[in-house]
Amino acid sequence: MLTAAGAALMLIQYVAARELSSTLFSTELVVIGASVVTLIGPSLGYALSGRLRSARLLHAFGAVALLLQLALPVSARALVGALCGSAGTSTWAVVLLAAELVLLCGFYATLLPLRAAAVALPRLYACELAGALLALLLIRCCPSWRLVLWAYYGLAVLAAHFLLRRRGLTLIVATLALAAGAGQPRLDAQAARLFYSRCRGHTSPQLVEVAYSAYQRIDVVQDAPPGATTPPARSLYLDGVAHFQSGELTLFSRLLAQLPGGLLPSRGAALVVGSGSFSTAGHLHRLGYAVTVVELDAQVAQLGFRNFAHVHQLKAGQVRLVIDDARRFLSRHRDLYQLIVLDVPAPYHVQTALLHTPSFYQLVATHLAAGGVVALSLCDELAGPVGSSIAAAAARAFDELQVVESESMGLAVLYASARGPLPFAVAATAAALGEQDPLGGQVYGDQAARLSVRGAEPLSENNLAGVLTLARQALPLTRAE
Amino acid sequence: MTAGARPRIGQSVEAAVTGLWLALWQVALAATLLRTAGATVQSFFALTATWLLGGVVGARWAGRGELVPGSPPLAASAERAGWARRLLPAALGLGVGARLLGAALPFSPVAAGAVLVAGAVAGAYAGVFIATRATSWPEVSRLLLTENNGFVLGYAAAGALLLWRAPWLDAAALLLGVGLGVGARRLRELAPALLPGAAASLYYLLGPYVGDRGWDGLMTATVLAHPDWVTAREVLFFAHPLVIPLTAPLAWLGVEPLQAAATREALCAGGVVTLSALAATALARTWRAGLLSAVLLTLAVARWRLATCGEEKEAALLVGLGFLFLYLDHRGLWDLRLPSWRTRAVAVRRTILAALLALSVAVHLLNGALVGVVLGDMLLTRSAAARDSARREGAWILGGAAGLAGPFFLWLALGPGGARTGREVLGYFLEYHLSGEFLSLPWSPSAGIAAGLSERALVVYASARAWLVGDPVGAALLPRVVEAGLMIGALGVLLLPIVHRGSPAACRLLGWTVLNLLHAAVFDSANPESLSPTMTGLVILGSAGLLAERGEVRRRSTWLRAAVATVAVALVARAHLAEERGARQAAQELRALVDLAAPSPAPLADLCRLLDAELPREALLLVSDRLHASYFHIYTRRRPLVTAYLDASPEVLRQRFALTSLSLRIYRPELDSAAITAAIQAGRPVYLLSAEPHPGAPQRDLQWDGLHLYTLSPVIF
Repeated sequence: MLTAAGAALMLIQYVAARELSSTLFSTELVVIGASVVTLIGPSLGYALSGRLRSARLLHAFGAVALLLQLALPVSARALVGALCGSAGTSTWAVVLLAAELVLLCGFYATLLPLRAAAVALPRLYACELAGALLALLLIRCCPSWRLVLWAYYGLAVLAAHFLLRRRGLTLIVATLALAAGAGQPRLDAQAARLFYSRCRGHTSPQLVEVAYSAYQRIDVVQDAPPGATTPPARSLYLDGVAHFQSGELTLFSRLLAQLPGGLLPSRGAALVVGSGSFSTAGHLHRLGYAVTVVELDAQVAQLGFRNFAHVHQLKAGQVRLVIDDARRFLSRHRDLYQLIVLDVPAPYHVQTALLHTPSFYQLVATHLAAGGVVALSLCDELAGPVGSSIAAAAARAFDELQVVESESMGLAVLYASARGPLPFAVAATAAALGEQDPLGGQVYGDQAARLSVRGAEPLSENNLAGVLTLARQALPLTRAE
Repeated sequence: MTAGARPRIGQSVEAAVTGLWLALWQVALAATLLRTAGATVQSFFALTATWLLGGVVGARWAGRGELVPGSPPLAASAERAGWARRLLPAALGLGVGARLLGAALPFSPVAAGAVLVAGAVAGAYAGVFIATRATSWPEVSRLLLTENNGFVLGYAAAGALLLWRAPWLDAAALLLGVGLGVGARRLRELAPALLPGAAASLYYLLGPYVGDRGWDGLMTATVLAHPDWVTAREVLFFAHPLVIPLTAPLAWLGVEPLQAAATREALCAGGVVTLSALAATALARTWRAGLLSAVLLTLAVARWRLATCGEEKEAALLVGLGFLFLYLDHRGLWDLRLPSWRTRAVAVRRTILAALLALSVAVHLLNGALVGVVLGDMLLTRSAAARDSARREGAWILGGAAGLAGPFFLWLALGPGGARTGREVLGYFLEYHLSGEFLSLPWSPSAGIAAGLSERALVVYASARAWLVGDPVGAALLPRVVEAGLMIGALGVLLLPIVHRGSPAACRLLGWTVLNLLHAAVFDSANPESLSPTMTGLVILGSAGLLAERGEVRRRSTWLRAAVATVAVALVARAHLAEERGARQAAQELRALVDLAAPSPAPLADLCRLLDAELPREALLLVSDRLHASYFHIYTRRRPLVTAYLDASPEVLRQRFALTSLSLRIYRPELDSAAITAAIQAGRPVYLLSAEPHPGAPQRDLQWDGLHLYTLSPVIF
């Protein structure tokens, strides 16, 4: 029974982490908060175990916990969607979700001290850990999210069987688990529609495709209002955070790739880090570059290529796709590129923050051919707290900088050379910006950019304050991400 | 085991702190793996799996056989208990190793594997802890609750530290782990010495001197910032071969290079304070003497300035005094009351001491004086029985140290140093002494021996005084000769009783102090840094001499001695505060000019970054002071040219300017004056950073050290 309890705890923590981080605005603070909440659960369980002397109390606690367990994969998104107001995610939704998790994890944690006399503890504790280990292996080996969820529901049945010891009740839990498992895709789709309409501002969201990769939940959402004559606009969400949206964010990929790609005098090899909708790679391919795309998450690449063909206009094989961590890829290869585009997520998490550090930029600089250029997003304005720390990191690694702030986008994009001057002047960049953005914007040369960020501490492995800043900006959660 | 019985406070604290440490360590390892192996999901699963696997193995292994409820922890079997105790140090050692390996070899499978092994061992420790402690707790649920509460708190703290200051997470996890390993009882015993040491380190880290840094700190930082500029010869600098390598891990951990040198010294300075407190307590048989010694050392003006500027003396002193004090304890000449030191086998202690002596000399050649102390102990011990023991132990330790350090130093001279003859080997290690820059005998043909000696004595006194209370401000109350005489007399009164009637260790410590004083009398005498070892020894001996327990008869003078100690602390503290305030005020104008939210404790660092951002990228920069060039080397991509060194050949730079091989690598100009003139004529912007007047050249005042930026071509300001 304790092996099953250990496995259930691990699966609950895994499912909760996936659902919470893709439902609340996914930042490192949310991940840490979700982990802390799932760890508080066992404390509650250990504290209660000495007080749960009557079997009826324990069974009641178990029944509530099992129901919460069956509901968890859908309830998080539904609850957040239902309680989402104009100011963002309701605090009540967060509190209710936290309480759900504490109760759920707490229940499974009561079982070890209840069953373990002191002498037997080492063996039973090892059993519980072994259960968690088995669950971890199951998660790693399972080819799909749905199979993981079936195991998750199955463990609820097993727990009911061992704990309640009544066939009738086990049968009821099994029936509910079966219904939850079978109905999960449909319920999840409804919850997601509610979530995207109320929390992300879609008028009539439809889920084109949903996938749970090893890293994140990927949603391709389109708005298809009744009677609309134009093709529906599609958006790519990674863990509930917009990565690509038809509309204003297409300007972002044009500034990041098309503008510097068009200004470079020669077209050679180009590297795009982060595939997303492949719009960046598409721009560069059309400009005549031989494009290599490095993407960590194979499923993001698959869904992005499949669902955004109208945006990237690429055919299979026109760009080379490599599935790898960008830092590892660059450290293991010696290829040089004329243009490197870092189309990576903002530093909401430590993992993504490491792609905005001097050490990563130095690695990128070693892959720039003579006269080559790197383009990266500051995820903020140049003078903003996050933008200046990313620009300061770039200033440490690159030789000459230019920063473009677009009026329409409100974000700054930085171009840099590894050695020697940039192959295009500020005036040329300003002219190109005028063509891309009707509202125009500001272009900073090297000296102005460096003076602006002189006092900023670079985002680095040891200074992740930018992650905290972004996470705090996302709280309270609002639609304006 | 009665239901409702409460665990002891010690048990609760141990369980909570263990949970706290496990969480900190787990997050620190995960962050290391993320940096080392990349962000792939396999890494996350692998670390969690190895941790859990370690936990399963640990719990099962510790739970083998019969554990009797109510028995003390780890009572199941002595063999298992021994192994279990080694798990925590093993986990810490593996974790530190994995961190350094990951920094040195990013994306190497070996580095990633090391993190996983460290995770498995930490997981095993967690399993062993729960399994073994369960028998001694009244209720299993309380043990699990307390440990889990610690884990929750630790996880939240680890997350906050990771995002706020990641290196602090590593440091907190390591320190807490070491604290757990040492154990509460032993920590409590050492607390009177450890706490002042920790406080000194913390103060030096958080309250550094605001001002210019010295050559050693700047050179260490330059080598760390540009390892490609130097060879092994410069990294293993002849005078202190291991100082730069010892600083490198801090830079690998992401500490900024100049800050890394200062951090090394701040940590070592804390260690020296701890050692001084132990030694003074052992000599005086009262912790008050240890406290006095610790406070005086922490507040000593030049010591604070030198350490927080990253000069290397505290690193040298930590290992040197570490050897000396343990050696004296090993010889039974005093009792430092170090837990588990004297209980170790004699052979183990000899081996540790030999290794420590070799390390001391490899860290700094000045620690060669320790060989003199050991030889003196061997030759001058009076009683026959004690002499035999001294000679036996001295022979073992000196022989062992020579066996360890000899090949290293020989390789250093023959390999990176390029020496081919015995004379060249000697010349390699005496480069400073032979350069003529620092070594000077007190007598000369023009002056008499007596006059030369007395003049040098006054110079040494002035340096010693500056080391403790800084340079005198305003007119002196007494002529310097009178003041020096009074101070030496007072010191004699303090030291005589303790050296005569106190522990025999006091004589050896005084011998080491005198040896260092003799060296300082002929080597860079005017620099307080040269007096650092001497003054450290004198502060320890003086504190012990002042506050030593003297029995019933002398109790009446206790209040007087306490008053003297208080006055001494007050004087040093006043001087310290004055120096600190003065330095901070001096930087005010410059800080207003650079206008940064978080200015550097080295104002020139901020100034150089400002100039670098303002000057055209293609501009040539000349400097009149080579140390100013170092700031540009460390913080910018510019390599300014030192005006005095232009057109000089390496031989001239060595002979006339006494440049060492390291200085030659860093400061040798890449252009000559003809090339600079040609650049000016071609219209390339050329600037000069100097405090010297250059009439006619447009200048900009820089609000620091009288520095001006002169525009030599073309005029832009």
